[in-house]
Amino acid sequence: MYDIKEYIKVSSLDEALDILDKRKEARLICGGTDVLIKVREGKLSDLVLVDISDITDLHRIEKKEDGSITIGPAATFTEISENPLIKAYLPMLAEAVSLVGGPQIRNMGTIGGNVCNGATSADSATTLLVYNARLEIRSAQSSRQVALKDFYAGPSKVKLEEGEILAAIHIDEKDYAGGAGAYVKTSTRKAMDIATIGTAAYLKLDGDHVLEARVAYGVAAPTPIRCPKAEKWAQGQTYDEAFLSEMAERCQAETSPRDSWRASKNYRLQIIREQCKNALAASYERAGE
Amino acid sequence: MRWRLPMKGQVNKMTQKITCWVNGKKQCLEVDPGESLLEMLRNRLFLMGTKKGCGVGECGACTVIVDDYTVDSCIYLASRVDGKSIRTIEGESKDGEISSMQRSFLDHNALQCGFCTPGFVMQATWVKENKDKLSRDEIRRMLAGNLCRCTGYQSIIDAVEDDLKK
Repeated sequence: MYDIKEYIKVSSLDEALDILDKRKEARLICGGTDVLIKVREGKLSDLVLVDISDITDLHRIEKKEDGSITIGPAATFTEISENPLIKAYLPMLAEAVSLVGGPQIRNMGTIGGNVCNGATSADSATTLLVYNARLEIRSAQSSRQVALKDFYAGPSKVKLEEGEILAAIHIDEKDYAGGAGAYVKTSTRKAMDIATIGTAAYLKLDGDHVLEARVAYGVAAPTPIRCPKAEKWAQGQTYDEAFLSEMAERCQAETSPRDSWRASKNYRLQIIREQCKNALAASYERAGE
Repeated sequence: MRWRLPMKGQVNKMTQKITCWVNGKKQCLEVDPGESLLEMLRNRLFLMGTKKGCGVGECGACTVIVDDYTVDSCIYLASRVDGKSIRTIEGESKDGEISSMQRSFLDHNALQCGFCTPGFVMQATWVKENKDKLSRDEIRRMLAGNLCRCTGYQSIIDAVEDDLKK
């Protein structure tokens, strides 16, 4: 039995926004795989939960006329990994979300929850960061857009004000087309585990000439991060073994992993270097296809 | 940790009237907002086949099918199931005959204490009904949300692999 005072299922985003606006103690639940665990641990109590999991609009994944792709926040990891648009245009995201937990968790957990929970280990967040994702945040009164990279306030904290809901995730065509990416996850177990380090990479090449390289890490810092200095250096380089080694060193320099029971700092630094190379190499292979 | 014994003296709680279908049978129930689907199935409907292993969505012993997907019922709220269709292990045998997947588990010695078995059978049954031509590795990935402490898994994967061929 969870310590929940009231449960309200809503059938539209406006309904949810209205309740959040009028009742300050109300909180969203969608997949429930993070919220209910927090309740179980006593971190949240006496809750009024607003369930948005059955709002069809929020599950929608579509490609707009301008080529941008919109992902509804209530889309489950299973829905995302099996969606034809995601598989065609954002294959790295399909790959990343298929590595979360196990099948049952992927059937319940949502990308919106994964992002808004703010964990540095969120596989979808690291990947969305490499895709330069934009978030559409709505409240009863207003609507705003924020880049995912500007959405973090600190470890496990996102810039979501009272009464606000993540309404959609947008990825522009220029950020997903013309190149290829890969997501690599190192974890203690092969499934049902969070990332010890998660790496998302994206390469745009002209033959072996690097037009653009993007690298994002999860669990290499208090929040998911990109490696802007390394990425700037990468522009114009020639893709070869030396490039990979150099990128590994430069990316590692922009990370700040910690010691924890899961892995020591030194081990994480090694994974950061190796995964950088692996993710970029996989991107290169895919770009050549 | 906040835990309360379920079902007794639920005063001052905004209970919810829900309607759902459990193994094809319509059920109209009144549930507590903090009640999990697992608790509803076991404590209100007395369907004891679905087990509580960990209570935090890690072991899969509580796996049931809700509408089109398998879920961990211990972290699925009962109120959420309003209007939905649930399948539990009790629904897998029809007219006293166990299902083909259940038979395969028996034939391959895929259980010892049997506690994880309902969860495995529900997950494996879903896989059989929804997936096609899986390699042994892909089968393992599809069973990754279910834990077993007794068998060492090989007999379970054998059972599922064998039944998927049928």
